[in-house]
Parts: sequence; C-alpha cells; structure tokens
Amino acid sequence: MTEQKHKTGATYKADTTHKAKPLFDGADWDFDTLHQTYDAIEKIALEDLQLTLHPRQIEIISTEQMLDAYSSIGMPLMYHHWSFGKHFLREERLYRQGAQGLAYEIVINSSPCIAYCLEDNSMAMQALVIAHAAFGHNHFFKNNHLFQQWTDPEGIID
Amino acid sequence: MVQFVDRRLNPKDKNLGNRRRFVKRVRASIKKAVDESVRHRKLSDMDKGKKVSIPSDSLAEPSFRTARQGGQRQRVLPGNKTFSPGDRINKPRGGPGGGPSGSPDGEGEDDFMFVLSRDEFLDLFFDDLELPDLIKLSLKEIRATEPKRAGFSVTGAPSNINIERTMRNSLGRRIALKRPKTKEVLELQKQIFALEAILSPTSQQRARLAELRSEFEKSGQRQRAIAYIDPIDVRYNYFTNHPKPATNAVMFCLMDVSASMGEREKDLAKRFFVLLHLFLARRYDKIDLVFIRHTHNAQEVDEETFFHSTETGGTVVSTALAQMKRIIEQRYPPMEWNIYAAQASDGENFSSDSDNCTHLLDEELMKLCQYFAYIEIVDEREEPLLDEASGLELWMSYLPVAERWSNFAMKRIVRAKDIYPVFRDLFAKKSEAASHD
Repeated sequence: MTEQKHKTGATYKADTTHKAKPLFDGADWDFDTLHQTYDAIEKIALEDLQLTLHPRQIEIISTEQMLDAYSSIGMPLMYHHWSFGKHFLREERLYRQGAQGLAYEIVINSSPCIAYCLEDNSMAMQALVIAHAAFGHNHFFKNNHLFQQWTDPEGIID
Repeated sequence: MVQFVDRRLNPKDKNLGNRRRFVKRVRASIKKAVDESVRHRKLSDMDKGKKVSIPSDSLAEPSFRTARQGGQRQRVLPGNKTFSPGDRINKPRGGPGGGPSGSPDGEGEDDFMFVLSRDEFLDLFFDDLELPDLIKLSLKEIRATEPKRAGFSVTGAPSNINIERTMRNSLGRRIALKRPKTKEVLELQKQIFALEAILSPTSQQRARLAELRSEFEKSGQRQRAIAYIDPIDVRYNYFTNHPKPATNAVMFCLMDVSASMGEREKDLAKRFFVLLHLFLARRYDKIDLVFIRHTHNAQEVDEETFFHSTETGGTVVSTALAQMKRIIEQRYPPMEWNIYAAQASDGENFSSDSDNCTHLLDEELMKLCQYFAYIEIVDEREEPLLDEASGLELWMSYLPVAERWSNFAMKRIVRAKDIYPVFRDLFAKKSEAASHD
C-alpha cells in the first residue's frame, strides 16, 4: 500500500499539503472502507495509468461459495454433473485440513467484469485483490488482441 | 463505475445436486463403508454425520487425450542441438509406460475421504432394513415439535387468516373514521329518488335535493377513501412450535455373549439395538443406555466390551433379567423413567432356567417396561426348519409371555431386513398415540 499512497501523493499535489490519512488500518474491512479504497485505486488506474476498462462488479463471497466456484472451474453457471460433486468434496477436504489455501479472488472476463473476493481476506488483501483483479485483469481482458478477437464480454453473463 | 455485491447471503448448497449425484454414483462403495462403521460406532453416535472413505478407483473420470501410439504428430522441441528442421524422429517403441503416475496436485491414490451428512448416513443405514418410508422420515426427524397457538400476528399465510379478529378490527376502524354505512347511503339515495320524482318541486324541496346530492356524493367519496377491509385490519393466527413433552428413557440392551454368538450374530444384534435407540431418541430428550451381557452370569459392561468381547461359559438367561431388575431398582425408578429393553440371543438357555425367566418377566419386569423386544438370531441354514410354534428353549418359554403381554415382542432374525417387523407394533402404536395427542 505504501507504493499506492506514494502515487496518490505524486498525482494529486493538493493532497500532500494535508497530513495524508491512511485509507484504512487494521485487517478488518467493511463496505465503506472498500468503497473508499476502491475510489483511490480507480483514480490511479484511470488517471495515472490510463487504463481502459470494462465496468467493474466486485462480489464478496464466502469460502463455501469459493469452493463451489472451484468445483465448476470458476464458471458462474455450469451444468450439473457428479464429478463436480466429487471435486467439491476433495477441495473442501483439502481446505478444511489446511492442505491448501483458497484463491483470494476469481475474475471473469465479462462485461461488467466480475471479480469475486473472498470474505476472509484482510483489508490490505482486498485492496491488493481489487487492484489486481478488477483493474489489472480487466484491462487485459479489454485490450488483449486475442480476447478482442475471440470473446464476447457482454454475452458471457447471459 | 463500480458495483459491490454481497453474495455471502446467497443460498448455500449450490452444489447439493452435484453432491447427490456423486453419492448416488458411488453408493455401493459408501454403503460398504457405512456398514463397516455401524460395526464400530457407538449406539448413541449413530445418528450423526460420518466420515467415510471409499477406494478412489471407483471415481475415475473418463477423459480425452492423444493416443500414445499411431497418428501423426508435430512437436516443437526448443533448445535442441541434435536435430535440425526436417529430421525424422522415430516414434517411441513399446506400450505406454506402466504403473500409476503421480498426480499433478500432489494427491496420492489414497482412498477418497469425505463426510456424509446425518441424513445421508441414515439413508444408507436404513437401506437393507426395509423400513417403511414414513418410519424412515419420522426416525430422521430430529425433534418432535407441535405447533401451538400463540396469539395473533400481522403477517402470515392466507390459510391462517383469523376472520373474526380481522372483521373486528375492520369494524372498529370504520367506526373511528366515520365511514358511512351502506345502509345510510342507500337511504340517502332513496330520498334523492323520491325528491327527483316530484314533477314540480318547491324551492325548499330543490334546496333539500341539492343538499342530499352533495351529501350522497361526499359519503360515496368517503366510502371509497376508507376501505371496508384494510390490510392493516388483517390478523393471522400465530403458531409457535413447542417441543412435545418428553422425559427420560432408559434402554437396556441384553445380549448373550457366549461363544455361540459370532460376528454375524453380534452385527445383527447391533442393528437391532441401533434401531430401537433411534426410535427412542426421537421421542425422549435423554436416553440412558445400559448394556448387560450374560453367559452363566450377568454383568453390566460398557458398549465396547458389550459388542467386541466374548466370554466363555454356559448360558443362563435369567441372570441377565435379574441384573436388569436390580439396576432398575437401584437407578431407574419407573415413576421417572420410561424403561425399554431389547434382548438378543441365539435362543440357547440352560434348560431348567427358562421357568425362572418367564417368572421374572411376568411378575416383575413386564410391569415396569414400556416395551420388551426379544430377537433370536438364527443361522440361515436353520431358517427353513423353524416355525412360529416350535423352537429352542428360550423361544418356547417366551411364547406364552408374548401372548400375555401386548408390550412384549419377539421375532426370529436371519437377515437385517427381518429386524423392522419386531418394532412394527411399537412404531404403529406410538405413532397412533402421537396422532391422538
């Protein structure tokens, strides 16, 4: 986060005259802090880095939903099959036993670009994940030559 | 532009359908694991979820891949110093490499482990007991509750609407807001019609007519503005669920553990005890379990010893009954406890002892017990030789007891599915009684 604060300082000189207050402290997050942090990140992304982006949609999900997403290869909608049940049970067991951690986010190359963030993430992690998934991946999805050629972001969610 | 969505409250169990499909597919393997665990679990733990492991080779998924032999293939082999473009490389000889390969995610080819939910476990447990569906349902029900009236509420299902309350509220509101009654409005209308019927009205009558008309219009408006029944009037009967009165029960498990009772006999006996325990667990808050094993003398033991150790010795059944009577006297006053007993045996008894058993049951125990179930576990080869009226020592002496006491049930068991009929009367009677409550 220090890097980001530094950047905000550089871009908006007016702010530096004030004693800059951190966007958050501590590991807990709530939707207000998420919004503020998001706004700060968005400013950097749009004005500083000049990213072109799909609209963003950030969804907070629980670990169980993340495991659900795992078993259906991250697809928001999937047909039913016994093997997904098997995958779910395996992932769940590995997770419960502590043999593997869960992904911090899953991002879908749709428009609006959906980023699933895990509720267990700390606030710093949420900020990182939003910057990474909702902006980084998003920019890539929108601008990559092959993605432009072969995917239909508006049509994916239907 | 951003949208934050909190998905955490979305319905859970999105994967439940897939889980069911999976359980159905590997049912045979799970069933084996469940049967195995019935042997090892405690009676009172039987209705909980259970971790099972099944061999992973039953779970292989078919997948497409390129054939190892044949076909044309082109590969890019980066960084080689041996070949140049256009060189032809021989195909690898021989069959595919044998032996299981390491899986990419580091999971070995161990058994596949997962936790069955309570319902799934019981489903599989009930599988070969051939219980009627209704009984299965009622055994799975965790707590018996019954809805009791608890006043009225402003929300509810249309079927619970309380018409009397609703109409009373409506009437009160109509009076308070001075909603014109239909009768009054009709009366006004009648007067208007009467005045209109006059061919040459006087000025007084004309003024009266105008007055009545405006009054009529006003009351019409008022009627329309103030509803006859407003949503705020509506009241619903409100019910809360009360747990059915339940008290304590004690379940006595009596079993002959002499050498003639082998693994198969004990396994069947355990299923029998489990079923009775499940049934009691549904009806009573607290159930004590007492295990009495006997050879030529009887002992109270813990569950582990009861099911898993053998004793040598003769068989004197009355010792177990006497022990049960002693324990009741010491610890379970019949005024406070519902007493259930389940006895499993292979039917052998020391010949002069059977009269003692009959006597003990008739005079003492049957008066104290809610229910006494006796099962005789017989060998499959002996089954065709036996009928209801003849049998071994203990069977013959219990027959008259069963005739005298309606709460005594006895049955021969060859397979697991024979167990349920022992309880049929018990279930039938109790559910009937419950429906009368």
